[in-house]
Amino acid sequence: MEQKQVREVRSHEQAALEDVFFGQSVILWARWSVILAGAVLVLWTSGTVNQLTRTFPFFLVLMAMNFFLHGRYVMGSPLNRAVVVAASVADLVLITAIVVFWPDHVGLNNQFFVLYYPVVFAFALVFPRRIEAAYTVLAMLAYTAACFGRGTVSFADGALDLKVLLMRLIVIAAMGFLGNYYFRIQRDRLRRVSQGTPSALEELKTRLQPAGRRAQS
Amino acid sequence: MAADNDSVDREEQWFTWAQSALGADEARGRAAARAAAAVQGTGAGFAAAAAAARATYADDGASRTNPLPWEAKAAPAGVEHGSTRLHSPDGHWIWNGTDWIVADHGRAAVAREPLKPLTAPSKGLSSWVDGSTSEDLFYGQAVIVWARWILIATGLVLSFWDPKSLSLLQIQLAAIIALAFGNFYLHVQLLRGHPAIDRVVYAASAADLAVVTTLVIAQGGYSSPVFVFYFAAVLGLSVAFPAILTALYTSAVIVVYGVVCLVTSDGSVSELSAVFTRLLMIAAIAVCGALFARSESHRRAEAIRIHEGTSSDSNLPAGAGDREPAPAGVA
Repeated sequence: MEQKQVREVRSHEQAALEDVFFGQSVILWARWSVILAGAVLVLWTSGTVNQLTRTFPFFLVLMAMNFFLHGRYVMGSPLNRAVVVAASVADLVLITAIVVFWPDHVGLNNQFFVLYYPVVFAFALVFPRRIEAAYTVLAMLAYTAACFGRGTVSFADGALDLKVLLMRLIVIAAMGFLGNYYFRIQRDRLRRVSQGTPSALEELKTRLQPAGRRAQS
Repeated sequence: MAADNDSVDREEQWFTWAQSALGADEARGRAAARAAAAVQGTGAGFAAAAAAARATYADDGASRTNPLPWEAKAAPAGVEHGSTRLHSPDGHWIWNGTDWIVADHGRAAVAREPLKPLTAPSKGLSSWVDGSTSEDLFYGQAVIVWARWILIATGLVLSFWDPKSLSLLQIQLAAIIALAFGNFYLHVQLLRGHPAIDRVVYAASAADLAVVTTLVIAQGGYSSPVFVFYFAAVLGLSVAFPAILTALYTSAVIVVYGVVCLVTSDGSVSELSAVFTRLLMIAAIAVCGALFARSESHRRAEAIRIHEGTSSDSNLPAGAGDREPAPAGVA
């Protein structure tokens, strides 16, 4: 006897919890990359003991936090969404601190703004659009404030500094937008698979079929 | 009175069947037998009643919530979790805690079509030679196309912002216009539901990286601010391409851009450390994208497995028929 299948849709809350659980690994690895880069940079570029002892603790704190979060993840204990968001905000604070306080090169002249990119991208792969947009805007504001706050953006010489700043901000925004766009595509695919409904690709092909062929099929 | 006796007999027969076919747990067997008898009492056939029995037996009665990934790996056979009510595998019955009642077929979310297999999964390196298209690439291609539009729009605006020289502007505009035409073609293909063949997509991404590299070199290598566009390009390909191709492309970017920077930087610690950070972050973007794409692929595979598990469970296995007690009156 051929029987129809039944599938209940997961609740919105359950889906969001799963997204945080599965997406967490991306955030964790993004943070490890930031920690690795930061630790190497501090060890590499420090000129004095004082400089090293002042900068390295930031990364030790971040490392301890990520050990804890990664440990929880490996043990299969779901982390509170608020904790994940708070840790991600802490990433932004740390990166902005590097941009603001790095010896000799601050604000726009600091080349470590690229640390924002993987962090914003990873966050966008985990959280829904509104939260992601808020986080991306926060990163952009923090970087803009760091650049203007240190007085490194000049409007002279055709406002070239502003052009460079704008380029960097656009890429931060692109990281957030593209990451979340892909996240939403994947949500839709998972939902369709769970429900046993045709994929977006199949649906599109059906819609674009000539009327006669559609009727036949 | 006779009807009551029939019902009791039927329940006993179902209990015997449950003990032999489902397991020795008496309490669960009784519950399964009650459920099967109730379903059968409504005129349903053996298959529906057996499915109800199986679902009830499998259900521990303690939790009706969908097990989250960290809670349980597999749902009980024949039971579809995810709501506060339990549905029989054929979707016609709902267990209200005591009896099976007729399900409301008006609810669109309950009864659905059988799962169709995914079309053309990602083919990896083989797609270089067979001219195929992959479903993963189709979805990832949308991200690549939008990443490229961002690159084109930003590049176009910034090119006109205080251009350094005529020749540089000519190079920039020619490259951007070529990208725009190529991207328009790919985007139209997507909108029409005809994803470009894999090789075209791979070649287009290689062209993106080549254009960014050309602009970086034209603007002085290390000092060029345009390198940030590598991030958008690598992001797109990391979520769309198979992991091995992502690794190949990213490695190529790291090697080429690293060499360009080493040649054009002054070799100071601050510049070398900046180069190191840029390269590491490009790699980090690629790893994050590939990790997420793989994780999502596993989630979809798991969803399919669960769905298909339910599907096979609703059709009686061949072995089960051998153990059926064939209760009297059971059709």
